Amino acid sequence: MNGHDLERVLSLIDENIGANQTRLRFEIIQFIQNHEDQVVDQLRANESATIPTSAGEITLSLADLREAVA
Amino acid sequence: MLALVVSFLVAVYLLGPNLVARFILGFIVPRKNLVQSRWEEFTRAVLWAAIPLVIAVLWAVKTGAIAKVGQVADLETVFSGLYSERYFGAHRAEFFSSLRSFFWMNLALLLPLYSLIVGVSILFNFLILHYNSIRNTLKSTQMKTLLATIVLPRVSEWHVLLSDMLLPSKNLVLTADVLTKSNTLYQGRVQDKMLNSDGSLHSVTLASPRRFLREQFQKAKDELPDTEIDDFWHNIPGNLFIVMGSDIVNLNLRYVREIAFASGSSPEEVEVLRRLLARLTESK
Repeated sequence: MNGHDLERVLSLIDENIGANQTRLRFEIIQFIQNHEDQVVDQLRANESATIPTSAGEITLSLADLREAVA
Repeated sequence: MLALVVSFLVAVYLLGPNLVARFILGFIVPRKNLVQSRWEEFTRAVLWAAIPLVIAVLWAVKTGAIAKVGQVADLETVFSGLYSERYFGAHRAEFFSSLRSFFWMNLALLLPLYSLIVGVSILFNFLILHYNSIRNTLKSTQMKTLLATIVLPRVSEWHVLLSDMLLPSKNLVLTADVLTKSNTLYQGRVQDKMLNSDGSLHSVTLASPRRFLREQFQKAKDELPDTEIDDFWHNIPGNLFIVMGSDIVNLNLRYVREIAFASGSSPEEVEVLRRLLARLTESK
């Protein structure tokens, strides 16, 4: 793979990261809205909640939550 | 004897620098992940040898490092002695005296040569390690391409895609959906990969692997159209699930930020999270 091809792949990875982050946020928000009680219970018990997404389970910590709304 | 000495000099001056450079670069990019054609191998070897050699010679000439320890006449005496036994017999004392100078002259050249090679290789390692932050400071695509051409060795595309070497952040995890020839879909975090000597994919190791129960899902979907897909992933125990490259039909790679809300959240999303936090506070 030469420099040009490599740079192309890296640009695709950048796009992939952006698209996945948007999709993942959407899935997490949807899950929170649909299973709010369950998420609240988990956060209360462990200071984190496990959210199933299309990319596997994502752990949402209380600290990350506070940072996101700050 | 002359052939032996010349072979040794060729090895030390032309092959050694490439070998040392490869060894040092190997700490960052494993050797098996480098894929080069024979022509690229040759060009790279010559560049790794010729350019530093020219610089080392210029440096040694300018600082007088060679002139201090020997003269051209010493080289002539040594090579003549190695070439002809008669000359060696007639100029024995002179030969050994010149041989000493010959040794120091080579050392005066080899020391800056190898210092340069080691220094540049370490610099390249540093640049590869910080490749993404350097790349992010460059605006134009041409400059980025130039950086990739100069800095990165000929890396296998699988190494770029399946390792975190060039990822912009360490908070990223790589997940993959792997469809195999037996029509089974696996998902997991890419833990490792193995490449063949030609750079092709030998195997992918997945952590937190799960298998999609396609038939059950189809059956449930037929009966109940609202069936959620998440319920049909079966967790596979273990964290070293290996899928052989020859068994893979396609791969869907996803680079996912571990902290999804680190940046770029919309006001609506922030509002949902705020409500969630408010509920937690209320209950206390």
